[in-house]
Amino acid sequence: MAVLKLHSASKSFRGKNVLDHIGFDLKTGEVLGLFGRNGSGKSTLLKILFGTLKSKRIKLEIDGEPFRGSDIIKKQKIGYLPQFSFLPQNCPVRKIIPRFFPEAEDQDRIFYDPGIARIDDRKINQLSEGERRYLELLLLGNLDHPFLMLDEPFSMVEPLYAERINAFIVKLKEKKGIILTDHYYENVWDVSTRNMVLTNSKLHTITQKKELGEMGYLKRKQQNLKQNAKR
Amino acid sequence: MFQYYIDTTKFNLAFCICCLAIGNPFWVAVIFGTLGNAVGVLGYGQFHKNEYYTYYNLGFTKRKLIKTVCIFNFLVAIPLTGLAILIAFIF
Repeated sequence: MAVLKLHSASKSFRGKNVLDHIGFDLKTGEVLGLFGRNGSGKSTLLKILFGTLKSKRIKLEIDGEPFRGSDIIKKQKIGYLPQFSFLPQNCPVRKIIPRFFPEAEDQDRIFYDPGIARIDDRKINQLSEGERRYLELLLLGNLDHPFLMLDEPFSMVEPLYAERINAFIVKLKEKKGIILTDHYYENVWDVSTRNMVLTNSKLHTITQKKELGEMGYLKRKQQNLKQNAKR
Repeated sequence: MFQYYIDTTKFNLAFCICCLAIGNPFWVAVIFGTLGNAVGVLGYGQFHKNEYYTYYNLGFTKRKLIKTVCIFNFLVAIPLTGLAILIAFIF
């Protein structure tokens, strides 16, 4: 079992603190749901962990070994699904898969996935949001990183693919530690094993959905309406 | 990583072709191995910026990608420069 320990990370932009001594632990087998309003620093935190954004102070350990900046990329300890599409738009799906997986056996796992088999001759810019997002998740999820960070995997995704993404995250959880953030908070809550809210530059652990309202992430009225609708 | 080389070198070559219109082949070969790399990386950053995340997830840092492209193109530029000198000598 791999363990990621972020002892502390801080970041400020133009003198304004976005992250103030943030810290948490994550083990393989866990899905950490990360909530926060726009601009609260969720993506900033993920980019700092991935090493693509510098932090003035960061203390990170994976399996007891300290890591800094670009070491994360070099040693392939953490995978990162960014908010935006990172695949070449004019390239067909069948040409992209071998770039990630040179071995035929690994490629087959992607090619024969029910969500991919019927789209492998299409270009990335011809895919729906859900198809593209699912493909990206499948590519990154099948790499060997022990940890994976998913930035808005459910955004604008049609329900069929949202279900597929959900099921895949649950399957991935068996061998990876996952940080998941999305404004489609119901989807995140369904698969997460622990949840935290990023507000006022600090991370707060929450155990109940109603705390999303108490922490200012949701309007309480909006949350009550959703709960009533479910009943 | 080969795809990164192809993508950046496309911009580099386009720049070199423009240079060929106003300069001689010797300087174009020199530019291909030096300044052209910077143009290639800038072009890639402008039109394919998000695709860096593919390489990051595969374990390649931006520094490593750029370094590899620069070294490879520098090595390619050496015989090209020699060829340009030879052509100038013959004609």
